[in-house]
Formats: sequence, C-alpha cells, structure tokens
Amino acid sequence: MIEVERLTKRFGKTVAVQDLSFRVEPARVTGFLGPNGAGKTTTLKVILGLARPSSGKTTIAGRSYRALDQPMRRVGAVLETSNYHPGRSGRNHLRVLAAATGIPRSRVEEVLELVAMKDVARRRVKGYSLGMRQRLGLAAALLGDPEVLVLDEPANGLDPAGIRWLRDLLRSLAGQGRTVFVSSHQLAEMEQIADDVIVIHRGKFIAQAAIAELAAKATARVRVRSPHADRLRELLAAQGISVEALEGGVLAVREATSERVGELAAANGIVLHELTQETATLEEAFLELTGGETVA
Amino acid sequence: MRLLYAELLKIRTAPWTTVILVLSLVAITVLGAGSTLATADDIFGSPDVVGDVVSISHIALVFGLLFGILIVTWDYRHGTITQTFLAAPRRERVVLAKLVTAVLVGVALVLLALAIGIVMGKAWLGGDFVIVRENWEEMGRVVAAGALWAMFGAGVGAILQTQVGALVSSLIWFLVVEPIVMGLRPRIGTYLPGNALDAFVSGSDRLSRGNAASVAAAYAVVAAAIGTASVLRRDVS
Repeated sequence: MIEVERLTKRFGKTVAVQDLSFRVEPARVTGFLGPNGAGKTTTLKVILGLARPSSGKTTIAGRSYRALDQPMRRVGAVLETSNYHPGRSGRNHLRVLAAATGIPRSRVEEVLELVAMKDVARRRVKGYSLGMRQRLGLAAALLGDPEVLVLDEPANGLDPAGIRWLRDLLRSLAGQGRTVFVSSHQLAEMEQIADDVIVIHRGKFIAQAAIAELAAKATARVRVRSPHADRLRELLAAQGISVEALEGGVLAVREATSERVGELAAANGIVLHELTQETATLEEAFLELTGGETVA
Repeated sequence: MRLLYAELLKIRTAPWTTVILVLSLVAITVLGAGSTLATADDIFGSPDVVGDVVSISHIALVFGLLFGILIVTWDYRHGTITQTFLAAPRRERVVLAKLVTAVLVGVALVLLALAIGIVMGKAWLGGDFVIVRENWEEMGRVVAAGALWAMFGAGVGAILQTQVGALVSSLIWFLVVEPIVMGLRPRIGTYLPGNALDAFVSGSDRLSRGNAASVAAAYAVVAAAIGTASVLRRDVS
C-alpha cells in the first residue's frame, strides 16, 4: 500500500504538488492520471525517495522509502525510459542492479524471460527501441519480486499489442495481491489498464474513483432541441438545473434526466423536436474534472 | 560491499569508455617508456633511467582523475542514478562505494603504468635496469597520489554532477588556471591542488613532501566531503 499525506513540493516559487493526499490499495491496478506537467512524476519521485517533499509525507507499507530495508525487494519502480548507459547490454544493466541489491544472477534471467527480452539481452541498450527500453525497465522493477510496483508512463512507446501485453502483466501482478500504481497522461490507456484512477491537475487532487465510476460521475448530458428553446431554458433554470444554449435552438442540460426535461416541457406545452440522453465518455469526464484542460 | 561490487561491475560493463581510457594510458606509457629507454641506451644503469621511467607513470594520475569523475558522473549523465538510488536509497553508501571504487581504480592505473615501465626497462636493459630504494619510494608516492587524485576526481564529479562540466572544468583548471596563477603568484599557486600533488610526487622547492602530501590529501578529502553533501541534498531530476 502506498500512502501520500498532504504532500507539497515546491521548486523555487513553482508549486509542483500542492497538499496532495491519496492512498493506493493492494491487489488493484491504480492509475495516476493527469495532463503533462500535473505533478505526477514529481509525486512519484517523492514516494520513491528521489526528491524531498517540501512538506507532508509519503509511505510505502507504512515506511518512507529511505527507511525501507532492501527497497528493491519491496518496491519495483520504472521512472524514465532513457535511463540506461547506452554501451551496456540489457542483461548487464540488470546484473549491475542485481549486484547492488544482492539479488542472484539467476533472477536476471527469470525477469528477462518474463518481459520477453531474452533474445535481445546481449545487445547494447543503444540499439533498443522505446518499447524494448520499457520492457527492460519493467524487468528491472520486477528483479526483487516486489509487492509494490510504481510505473511512470509505462505504456509510452508500446504499440497496441504491447499495451495489451502490459495490461495482462499488470493485471496478473495485481491478481497476486500486489499494489500496482501506474501513471499516464493518456485516458484511453488507463481505461484499458487500470481498475481505479487517481486524477490530479496542476499539482492538486481532483478525484479518486473506480474507472467506471469516474465515467458515471461525469454529469450525463441531455440534448434538447426545441423551437421554444428560450422559454424551456428559463423554466429549467428556474428549477435550478444548469442549461447551456447551443446553436439552432439546442440546449445542453446537465444534472437532469431526459424524463425530467420531457415532463417539464409537456407540462408547459413546449414542443420538442429532439430529446437525447448523452452518456459522457471517460474523456469528457476527465475534461470536466480538470476544467476543460485538454489531455492528449 | 554489494554496492562496491556493483560499481566495479559498472566499469566492466561499460566497455568502450573503459577500454579507450585504459588503452590510451597503455599507449602513452609504452611510448613514453620506450623513448626514454631508447635515448638512455648509452648511460646504462644509472638510477636516472629508472627514475625517468617511473616518472612516466605520473600520466596515470590524470587518468585516475578522469575515472574518478566518470565513476560518479556517468550515473548522472545516463540517468541511471535514479535506479542506483532506488536500489540504495541511503545515498551516503552509494557515494562511499563510488569513492572506494575510484581509489581502487586510481591505484590500479598507476600500478599498471609502473608495471609497464618496469617490464619494458627489464626487457630493454636487463640487469642494468636496477631499481634502487629511491625509485621504490617514488613509486609508492605515485601510487598514493593515484588514490588521492581519483578520490579528488570523484569528489569534483559529485559536486558538479555533470560529466561534461566536470571534465571540462578540470581540464581548464589544471591546464590553464593553475599554470597562470603559478606564473603570477607562485606562493598561492603552490598550494593549488594540481601543484600540491606535483610537489608531493616530484618534489618542489617551495613545499616539503610532507606538507605537499597533507595539502593534496586535504583537497581530496574536502572535495569528497562537499561532493557527498551535495549528492545527499539534491533531488534527482
């Protein structure tokens, strides 16, 4: 389990993370979602003891990363993809890490197998594709057979087949009871990979929910077209329902079901030409939560 | 110990950097010793020939310095410092392992250069290549200097943390700044790191060997201490 309590991180005058609190539960894949620059990587770095918090604290299984005994056996992490000595082979990269943590060499071969990198392990990292670097990073994270995995944008550079492979791997790891925490700025990816998501924006907590719940949370919209749009709009507004007037006599009604809008129109003798319940996609839910800031 | 082993493994598994540096050292030593021995043919057996051959090994100190810088900064340059610290979040242990590695490498490089010189001397001049006590003493000093200098390099690397920055500023410092200061204000210049080390190894009119050793050692220790503090304090970007 990962806990973040009232974390704030400043770089000079810039506040990268502000009063952020959340908890990541075991046996689930939890997504960490936010546009680029939202503070995801900074938060992960603090969790992993690579950066100091300005205030607040983060713990893994109740202890700060630096206080963990043999951290690689407790936590596996992948931060950036370019972090390899280009002249070193993939296998040797893992051997160096294994040596630093007292993990036997045989485990290096096991994780290479696990991420399907055995064939290319002898080659120098210089020649690896982005996807191969991602897999090597995952292999490094899995070296210590950790119960907590922290992955920063692991799907970057993976093709659709690679993403499916990643999803299956993360699912099976979570299925073994491990805590899996995965950041991404891509909603579509999260929809495929995560059970839960934590959404942050500009360093602040926005929402934490099951991914399906998040989509449902986005207020569904009712689209109404009527020749008497103005009157209907006033009626709805009088009921405290938020209405947005679009072009051509179309209203976008939030926080009301199509039934309610239809009944209200009938009771007041307003002719409707169209009445549609629109379900929000996750993308829209996200836009709503972050106040319309676009995500790639 | 694990971290030390990991650092040594890093050197062994970064083949090109290591191979190029070691080969350059070997090439320079072989050429230097060769030309010294070739021109010394007619003054067989004088301790000067041995002394000259030993002094060729001084070049290994520069390589030790470079290796010291590299051992710390390549982790930063290639971003592998992230994983190094994930594996060992108590950073002081990582820095200690790197300092020890640098010292080992610095000593090894000097020994390599000395071995080349002695083997070539024996092969060239045979029984006339007589190593006297004075020579052994100088060799001992070069070995000690090798340890100090690699440690100094690692300290500078830890302070600056950028590989290019550390390499370039060291070159400018030792090749430009120190000679200029030495020329203009020799009393200050004598106490600058490079000159102090030189006074320790080769002797100097201004600074006794003992004092020179203390000054050079102080530089190495202070650089290592500031470097350690700087690595501990700074966030990994």
